[in-house]
Amino acid sequence: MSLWDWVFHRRQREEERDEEVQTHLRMAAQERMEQGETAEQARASALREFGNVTLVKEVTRDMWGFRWIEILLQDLRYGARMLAKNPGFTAVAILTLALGIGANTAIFSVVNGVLLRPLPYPRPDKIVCVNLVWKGGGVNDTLTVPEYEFYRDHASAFEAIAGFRGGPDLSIKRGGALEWIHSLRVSDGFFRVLGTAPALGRGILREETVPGSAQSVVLSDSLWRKAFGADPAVVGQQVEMGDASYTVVGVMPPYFTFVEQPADAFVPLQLGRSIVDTGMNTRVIARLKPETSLAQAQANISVVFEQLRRVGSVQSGQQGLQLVSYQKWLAGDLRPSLLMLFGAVALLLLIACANVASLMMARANARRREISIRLALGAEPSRLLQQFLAESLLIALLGGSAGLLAAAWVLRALLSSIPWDIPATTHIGLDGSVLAFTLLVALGTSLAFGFTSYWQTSRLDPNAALKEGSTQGGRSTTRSRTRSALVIGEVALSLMLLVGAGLLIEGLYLLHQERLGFDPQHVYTMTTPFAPAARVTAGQVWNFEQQTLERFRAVPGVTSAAVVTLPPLMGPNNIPTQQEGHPRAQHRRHGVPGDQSPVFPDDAHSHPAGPRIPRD
Amino acid sequence: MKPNRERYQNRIELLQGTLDMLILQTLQWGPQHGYAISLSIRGRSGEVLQVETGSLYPALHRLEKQGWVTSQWKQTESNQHAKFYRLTPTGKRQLVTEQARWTRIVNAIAGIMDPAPEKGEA
Repeated sequence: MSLWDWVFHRRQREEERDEEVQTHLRMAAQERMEQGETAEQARASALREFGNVTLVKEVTRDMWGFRWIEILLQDLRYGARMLAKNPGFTAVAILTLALGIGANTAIFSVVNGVLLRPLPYPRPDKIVCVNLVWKGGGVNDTLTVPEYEFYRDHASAFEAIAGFRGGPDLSIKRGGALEWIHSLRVSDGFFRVLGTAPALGRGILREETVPGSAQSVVLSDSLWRKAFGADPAVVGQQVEMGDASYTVVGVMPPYFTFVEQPADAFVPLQLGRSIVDTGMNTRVIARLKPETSLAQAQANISVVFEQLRRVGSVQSGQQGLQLVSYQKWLAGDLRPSLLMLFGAVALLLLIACANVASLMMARANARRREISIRLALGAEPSRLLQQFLAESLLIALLGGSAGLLAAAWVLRALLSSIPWDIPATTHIGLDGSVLAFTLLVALGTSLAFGFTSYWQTSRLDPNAALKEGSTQGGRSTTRSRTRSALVIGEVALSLMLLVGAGLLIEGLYLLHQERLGFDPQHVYTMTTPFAPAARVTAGQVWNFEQQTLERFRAVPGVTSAAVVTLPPLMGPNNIPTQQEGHPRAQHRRHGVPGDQSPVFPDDAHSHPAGPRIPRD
Repeated sequence: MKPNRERYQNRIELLQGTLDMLILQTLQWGPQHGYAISLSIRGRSGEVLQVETGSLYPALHRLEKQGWVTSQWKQTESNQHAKFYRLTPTGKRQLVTEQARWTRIVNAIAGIMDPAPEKGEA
């Protein structure tokens, strides 16, 4: 019989088997009646001769196969009935597990998205990030353009190396409306580092990175669809973006996204030697040659760095270069905090498990009579174990499903309130591997409960338990010892979590008490996508900003408004902020405004609620 | 309940090879229902072999699962609805092999029990 038959014809087969047995009994009885017995006598002797009807039926059914499914279904049905009979216990157990499993699933989704899932590029393990290490131990993840060019031309360990820098937000006309798109300035080799070729056309060429050459652009698939109706003929055409004209040279495939900084358009990073380009503002990533290991590449780049030092283009404070796996770099500081959080929720799950286990123990205690009777009737211990496993499996699966729902909800809250900088397009969600993880956790917990319950009852002496009746006492020393162990474990785990949470809150409190030098309350920031282009003079920018500020100040409820290139505590390098024209303000490095985020004064009044500029 | 079940199953195991052969042999003369098969085995063995129902029905269902017999619901001569078992071609082949094996075993045992070459049937 196939599984299909078993599923769909089981009922019918059972009826036929019953009828077959009845026919047998009828025939036997009839024959005896023909030999002169009364109807009742005949039926009684036929039954006697036949033996245990139920047992014959069962043994016959065993011949059909799939007995284990029968038993499993039986156990699950019985388990479901037991759970339904104790709604209080069931609800508490499921909710407890839902909490533990939900928290674990939510955090695992983040761990999975940030730490485990490989970057969406071919051979992501070969992509590295080139960082600069200072003698004091500080690390810069941005280099200067001349440095990048030197490494590009001299390092032999890389299959490709590329620099990139965030580009301006550009406006693009679409159906009469203006739309803002994100652009990224990338050098040649950028798409080769990421191992993804444009679906149409080509990537950025070296010639296009020369200052003053014609502007070209590689479109993302989504921009190509949104703004150009997925027209393949757009390659080679001129498009207007911002206040400049670009030649479309390529379109990226739909699955491509630049994880670190998603962009709609990739324009050439023009490698000038102006003051802007010699600033440390260019990120450099590279793809190692297939046969080159990270250590070999590190050795190679260190040699190249020393060459650069000999040429004399290295500041004295710079220690050397460091290659970091790009994925690891993207996860950054998140890694330890995430792992710690993961450990904390694992503890939480352990506590939840301990709770449910002690609940189950209490219930198993109440069920001692039932179990003793079953043991006395000849139930095999393995069969009892199966029963317990089926019951705990039900609880764990229900708890797991509830946990999954909780996780979906928690995850949304978590992601929107997360204070860390998560790589923007890292996909964090409940995907296949997260589901598998949850299922595994649920199965693990169910095994744990099943075995505890079984272990506890398997040492039952049916005689003693039955004699004891409903009174509790006598042989309860091992049980109470187990319970004590559970309680001790729980208290220890809880204490650990509590101390951890306390430290975290203390840290948060201290952070909150930290004097920033200004009052961040009621301060809002926004960015204006104002593209600095050659055609705009500094005066025009100034005028635009002044007009914008005037309009903001006219908004009811606004007490003051100001312009800043980088707000305090934002941006990569935490540049000190000074009030323009303040006697103690000093331009440090090149004496160039813009290097230090000068703040345009608001309308000269000091508003009590406004951001006060820190005294340097 | 458990010990009982095991007793039945032991008995099935003791009889298994032989019972299957006896059933197949009985069905050689035409389709039969379970009760008739048990009567026939009892009758032909001179009331020596009692087939337990607890062995007969599992055996019939097992034989059916192996494809050696098929079953069909039909009316009996006394107009009763009963499940008739019929030998399949593979069942016939199985019967031949089992007969051959049986003869070999009987001859071997007879050779041990009765050294003088005589005709020995069980």
